[in-house]
Amino acid sequence: MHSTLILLVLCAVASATPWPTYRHDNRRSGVSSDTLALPLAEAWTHDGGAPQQAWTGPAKWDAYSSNEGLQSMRNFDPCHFTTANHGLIYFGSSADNAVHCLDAKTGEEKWLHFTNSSVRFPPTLEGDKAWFGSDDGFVYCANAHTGKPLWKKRAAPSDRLIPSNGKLISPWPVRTGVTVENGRAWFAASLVPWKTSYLWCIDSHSSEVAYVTEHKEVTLQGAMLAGGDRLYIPQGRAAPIALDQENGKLTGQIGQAGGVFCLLTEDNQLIAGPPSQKERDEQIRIADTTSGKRLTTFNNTNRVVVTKGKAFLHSNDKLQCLDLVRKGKLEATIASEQAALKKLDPKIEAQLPEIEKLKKSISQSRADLDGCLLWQIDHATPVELIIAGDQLIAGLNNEVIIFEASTGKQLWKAPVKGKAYGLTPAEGRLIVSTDLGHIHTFAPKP
Amino acid sequence: MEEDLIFARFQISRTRLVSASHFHSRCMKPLYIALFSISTACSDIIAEWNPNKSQIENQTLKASETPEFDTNGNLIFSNNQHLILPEDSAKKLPLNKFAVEARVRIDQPQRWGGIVSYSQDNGQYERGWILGFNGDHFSFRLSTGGLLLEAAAPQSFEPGHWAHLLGTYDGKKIQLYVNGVLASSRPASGPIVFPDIPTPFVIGAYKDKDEFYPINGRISSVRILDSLPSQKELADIAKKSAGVSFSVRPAVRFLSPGKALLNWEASHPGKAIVAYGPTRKLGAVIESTSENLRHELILENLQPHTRYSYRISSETDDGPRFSPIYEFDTGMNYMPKSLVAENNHPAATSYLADLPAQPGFAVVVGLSDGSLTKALAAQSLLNITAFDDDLERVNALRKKLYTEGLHGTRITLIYLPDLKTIPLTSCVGNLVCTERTTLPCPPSELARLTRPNGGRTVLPDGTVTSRDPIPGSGEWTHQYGPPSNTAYTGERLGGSQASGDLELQWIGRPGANFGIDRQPRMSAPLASNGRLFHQGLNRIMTLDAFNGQILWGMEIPDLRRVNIPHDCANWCADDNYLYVAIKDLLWVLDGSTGKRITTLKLTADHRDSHEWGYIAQEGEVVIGSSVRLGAEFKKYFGDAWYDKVGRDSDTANVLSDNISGYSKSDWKGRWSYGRGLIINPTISLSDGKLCFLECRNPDLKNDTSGREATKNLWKDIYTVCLDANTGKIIWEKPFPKTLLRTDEKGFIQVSYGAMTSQGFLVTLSEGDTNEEGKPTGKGIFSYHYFDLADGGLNFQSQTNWRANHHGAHISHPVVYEDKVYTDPTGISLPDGKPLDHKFGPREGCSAVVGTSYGLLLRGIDRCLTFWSHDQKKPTHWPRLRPSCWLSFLPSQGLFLVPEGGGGCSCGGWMETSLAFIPRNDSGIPVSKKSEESKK
Repeated sequence: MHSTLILLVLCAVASATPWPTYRHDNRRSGVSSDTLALPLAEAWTHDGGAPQQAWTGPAKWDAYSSNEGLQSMRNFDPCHFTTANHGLIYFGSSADNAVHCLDAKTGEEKWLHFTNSSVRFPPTLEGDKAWFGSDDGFVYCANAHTGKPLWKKRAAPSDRLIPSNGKLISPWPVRTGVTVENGRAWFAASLVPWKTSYLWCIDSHSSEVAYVTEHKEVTLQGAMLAGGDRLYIPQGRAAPIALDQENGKLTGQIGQAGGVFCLLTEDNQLIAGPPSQKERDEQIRIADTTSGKRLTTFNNTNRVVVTKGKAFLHSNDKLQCLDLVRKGKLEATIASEQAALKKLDPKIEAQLPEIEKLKKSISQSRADLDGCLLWQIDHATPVELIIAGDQLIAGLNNEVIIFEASTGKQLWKAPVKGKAYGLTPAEGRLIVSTDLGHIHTFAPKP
Repeated sequence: MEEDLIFARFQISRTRLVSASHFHSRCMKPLYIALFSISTACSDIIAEWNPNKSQIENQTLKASETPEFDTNGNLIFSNNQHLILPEDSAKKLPLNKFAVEARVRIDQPQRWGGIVSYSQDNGQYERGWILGFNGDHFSFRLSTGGLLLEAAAPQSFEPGHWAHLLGTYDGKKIQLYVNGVLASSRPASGPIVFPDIPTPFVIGAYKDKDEFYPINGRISSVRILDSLPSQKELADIAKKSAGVSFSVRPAVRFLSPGKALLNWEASHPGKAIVAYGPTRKLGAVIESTSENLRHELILENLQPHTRYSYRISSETDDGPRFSPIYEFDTGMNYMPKSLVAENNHPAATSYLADLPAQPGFAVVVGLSDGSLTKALAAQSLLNITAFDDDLERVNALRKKLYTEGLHGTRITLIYLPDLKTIPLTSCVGNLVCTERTTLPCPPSELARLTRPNGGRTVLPDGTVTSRDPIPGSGEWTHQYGPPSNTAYTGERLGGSQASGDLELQWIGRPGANFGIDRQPRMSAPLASNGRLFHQGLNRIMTLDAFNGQILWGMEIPDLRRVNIPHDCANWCADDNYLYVAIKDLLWVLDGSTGKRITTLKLTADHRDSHEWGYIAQEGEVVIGSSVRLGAEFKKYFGDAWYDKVGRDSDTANVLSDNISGYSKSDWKGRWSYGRGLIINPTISLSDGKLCFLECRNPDLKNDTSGREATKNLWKDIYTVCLDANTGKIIWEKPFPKTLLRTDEKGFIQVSYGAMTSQGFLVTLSEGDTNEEGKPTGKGIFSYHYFDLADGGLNFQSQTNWRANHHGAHISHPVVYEDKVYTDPTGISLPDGKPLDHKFGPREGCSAVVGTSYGLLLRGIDRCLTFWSHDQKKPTHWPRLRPSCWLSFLPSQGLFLVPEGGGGCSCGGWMETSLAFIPRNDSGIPVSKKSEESKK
């Protein structure tokens, strides 16, 4: 009895971690430190209404290039993503234009806050505040517990509204979410590249504007990322841009990246994809944010989650775990040896031994790459992957599955309605958002 | 259900298949006479293979990859899967006379698909034969020592549909039969010359020394025979291949979320059943209760964002007949949710009276209790946005609507502290009104928000006004604007001269998933009476031009027509109707709802042999023409730009055998004219006169497929002008000598007709050739201007091509009364002198259109560009990519840009539909500075 109590207490402590922003943190890692206590059972389901996405899917094909299966590069709002803290669950709705706060235990709606258009990312939670942007061109801050409006700022340069897909939107909607870090909050108002876009930085305590910068020929859309001294903002079909956190000035584009699935590793490598529609398979690439160079390409992959030097991904009908550190080292070695090889001339006899040595080493490194695969299992393609402590959680069509991260062993699964694009493990629960607008919440069985 | 049901009843006989994936001994009696096999004596069959599970598993056939089979046991050809036949097999192939027969289902068009091949194609070394396809056309290629000669089916095959193919060679000609019908024939002579280097004999791919083109699909049988089929055998195959016979082809129109109407008309009475489902296995079955020929079935509970397959079957005296498997995509269903009206709200009823019952936009300025707003939503399909200055009231009503599932979907409430000026772009509301007894803003504000072309403003006292079209706006009712093909409608675009003079009016659907792939050389969108009509991949979507609201969507499997520069569009519009050519009929659709009002037929002598070609309307007359079956272009996969310099297939025009007039009052035919072969892209209509070029070469008329390269066509050409109301000839003249092309050299890449108020302008793109007859890459646009009164030649003049790629040399002219632009310059009218300036830069494949103040084109960085007549300078919209012909229209007082570039996988294109409104008309206050700059 005593030991059971201790275990319960430990579980309670271990499962207290919130999920305060889109994909957990400003690096959009999708990694939570807490392992969920299994088995879980569905506690409640909320019907949030079918998401009204900002953009349609991609073309069926590039018929000229016989390139089929073009990837969607602007699919940043396929479901009502959630954030969670203090026993409350939040989501923004592209359907009813409101931010909703639900009781995590019961699903009861605690409060809702209407905006004048779609909300495409969940509120970012900071202390008692919930921050969110809307297609109406405004950014809002409300009391996270009560929903009481605290502050509102027009990010668009005018209050003009235009029709879009049956709603009214600002020609400068806020579709980056709000990134809050170190007492500052960033968001962007942007839509079409022939109009100037605006990046705002405000003091998250006083709400005073720190700066606003103007950016030409960009379309800022998708969750903004923050890491090091930079901000990164996806653009969909164009490469993400990097900006200086301090002054909002453009520092460059990450040319090897693209799409709206972006996450930033602890050493500021940007994992993003798909980079373009030219590739015949879905790709996610790792790019060095300093040099902009491509470090690694994951082929036939639409989602990657990285933790503790390991990458979890799905490729060629297999769910895999890779030793990313070793893979990176080997690929760096290969790259440098190939560069060295290029400098040598096989016509010069004296260089032949060195050439042979390098070739052998490259060959060995390539062979060693196979050893980076820690495990793999046959599996259907997930639409989302995240990590909760020792668990890998996969969102699939009509299903969510939890695996043991170290082995790939399936631990638990449950049906859901629709494609499980949004996964939020928080405070001991697993919240699953689907493309049909459903929010399923699973809690440990009593 | 994976395989066509039409084959299902023959499954028993197929189970008796021998394991005959080998060469028959000459005296072996065949145990299997397949349904579509030729009923020949056994000695005719040289070899037979059936790539199915049993033959793969018993190693009779060896798959190159790990084999996968469909539910019928057919080997799935995908990725690199193919079958290499034993080398000895090839040695027994006949040299002088043979037939190769295959039953196939190609799931993906591609370049150089091989179904059965034993061939090498290495530069000048071309040997053997290939039964296969290129793009979406079946082909049979064979070498008698020289290059491979090709018999290619002119009609596209439908991916995913089973077909019976038969390639034959008799020492004199190569022929290809598709489903028992001769699709192509070309002369050849001498014995077949096979490769003399190691060459694989392959099923499911084209493979030679250095090329490998595996296919995606199924091949259920392959046979090689050393005799040719009799006419009776071919007729039997054709009969067995026949599917459902339609008098009106099927279409699916979306009604509401999850609900669609499938309708068609059968040729013969009989029970009709539809099987449909989210995969090609179909699943749900629904039977038509109609006792006549017209069938209308409601498909319900459809999943969102799902590509459905369906097939229609009908009972006939010979048993059931099945249509091909068609598709529709519920991702294109944007119809709003209907609400149940609680009570008939008198004000709402009054406000909505006679307003078209279609989706749209309503704006309510000032709420009372919200009941009118809710009733308007319930009693219509309008999306309603209400502005109110009482935050408490707004929030209370929002919560109420939210609990009813209405907020944000059908009704949106917006709090606005001051209602005097609504921060909404102008010209949006199909209905603009207030709930209050006193108007909270000036009446002019309501009027500003009201959509032109019939949008309604209702004042608190019940006064109703209907807004007129924007002054200076033009109607884009035909491919190139008016039926006179000028690519200029008189649209002023509010005096705009640069991209910055235009503001976003709306943005949204349809997106990239709507179209074919850059809408390659397909029919342009149309805009008329406030509506925007747009064609995608076998689908039509109609939008409100002013607010982007999708009014209706229809999926029509037989809609597609491409290569419009060498043909004519398959549709046109007027204030009330959309006219769409589908196979042999003209569908007249209600422009506001998409409901089919009636169909017009071709002249009686052409109904079985022709399809509807040209379509135009003016006043009370509808004009249509007949083109021969299979003459129209439908290919879009692979190299389908139709602009390769001098290539026969890329200079070929679609030709009409006759042209006819119909009356709008009773939809009956009035007259028909048919003498020679009418060159479709030259047909122009204006002020009751119908002008075109006609080839009166009798030999060609008797021998054409209905599509001819200009080298065959350009003899005995006449310029003809008819009275569009009577069909009588007003004048006809032999066409004068072309300026570059002669009978000995050169070619005509494209030929266009257009009319001004004074003349008929024929613009030819003439290319030069060298002494060997090969294109030099140089060419001219030649202009031939005929007096509209008597056909007298006013002038001939010319300008040089700027380039010979990306459509530069097939530029359609923009015709003003005083000048004509092609690329990069043009001529002045009426004297024909070359202009003293150029426009541009023009980049990419799109056409150019005109406004009163400039040209719109694909220009800077291959983005949409506005070139100013006054300033002779371009400005552009970054990352906005139009289609590869014409997808943008200055019309209705707007610049309409429905999505056209999707599929272009390079570039960061916006891939969205949108419209611009002149800044002066947008409701945005005009600054003094911009007013001054205007002056």
